[in-house]
Amino acid sequence: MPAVDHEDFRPREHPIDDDITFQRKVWRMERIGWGLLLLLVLLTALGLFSEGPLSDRRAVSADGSLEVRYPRFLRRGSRSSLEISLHGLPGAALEVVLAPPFLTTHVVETLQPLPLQSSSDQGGLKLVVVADQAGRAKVHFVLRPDRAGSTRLHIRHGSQSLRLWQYIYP
Amino acid sequence: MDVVLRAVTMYLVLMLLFRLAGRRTLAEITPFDLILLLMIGEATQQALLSDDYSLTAAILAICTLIAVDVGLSIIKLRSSRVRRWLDGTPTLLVDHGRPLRARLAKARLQEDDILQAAREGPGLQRMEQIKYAILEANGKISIIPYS
Repeated sequence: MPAVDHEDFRPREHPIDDDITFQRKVWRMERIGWGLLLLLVLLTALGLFSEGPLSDRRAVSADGSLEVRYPRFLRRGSRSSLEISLHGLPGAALEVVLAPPFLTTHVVETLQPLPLQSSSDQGGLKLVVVADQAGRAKVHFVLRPDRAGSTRLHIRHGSQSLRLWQYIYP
Repeated sequence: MDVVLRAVTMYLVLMLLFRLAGRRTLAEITPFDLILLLMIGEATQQALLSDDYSLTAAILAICTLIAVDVGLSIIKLRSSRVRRWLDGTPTLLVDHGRPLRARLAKARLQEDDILQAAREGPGLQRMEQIKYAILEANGKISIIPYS
């Protein structure tokens, strides 16, 4: 078999000058390329480019009153979700602030439930929501990132604050 | 600026991916190839224009693509090395009726593919009637029969 291979790969000049050495290099690159493609598909399935175990994250503040579920990796122009859970006294009005650059980085498509009050706070977004009988309030955003690059989600609730890193793919 | 970046990026990425896929991809026009081509077109269009419905964006994207295409063709004229890497080179597959099996394997082809090209072209029936079979840079198989 090796002898036949060697003969097969002998360079030819007739009828065409076929540069088989170059072609074998190209074939080798092709195979490396396929390996990389497969790796890319696997990483995508795992969530490197959003939606998956590599991307989904949950952050909790020191005293547990602020919990955020968010994706670490997002794609610009594509929808992503953000879930903020607050814990306080039953029936109380709980306040949460999403500090800059939240408003310039993301377009808020939907926000459920609609807050009692929504205002601006030093360039950030301040929301006031009502806690239920168990003292919990959950705010669910659907966001559309409008910028690419590395960014931070800075969320404050009372004295608790979370700074979460995100990367937005172009 | 955004439009130009997207257009150039998509052009280069598609060029790289099609070189990776090999010469035979999309050279045969099977119904599946047509559908694959359509799907690639759709995905590319999304990337180029996204949610920008303006006339300006469409014109700019097309201008950028053509500019890159012309630019590359000029570079290919000047440098045969660049042309080889971008366009590929032809490869001999059958030498005087004898298929070069190691080359066929590397090119992911079978003898049936060569026989099909032989039937479609000069109307030959057997491998022994083929003097040379060449896989061209564009993926087509050329058959040179014994005259």
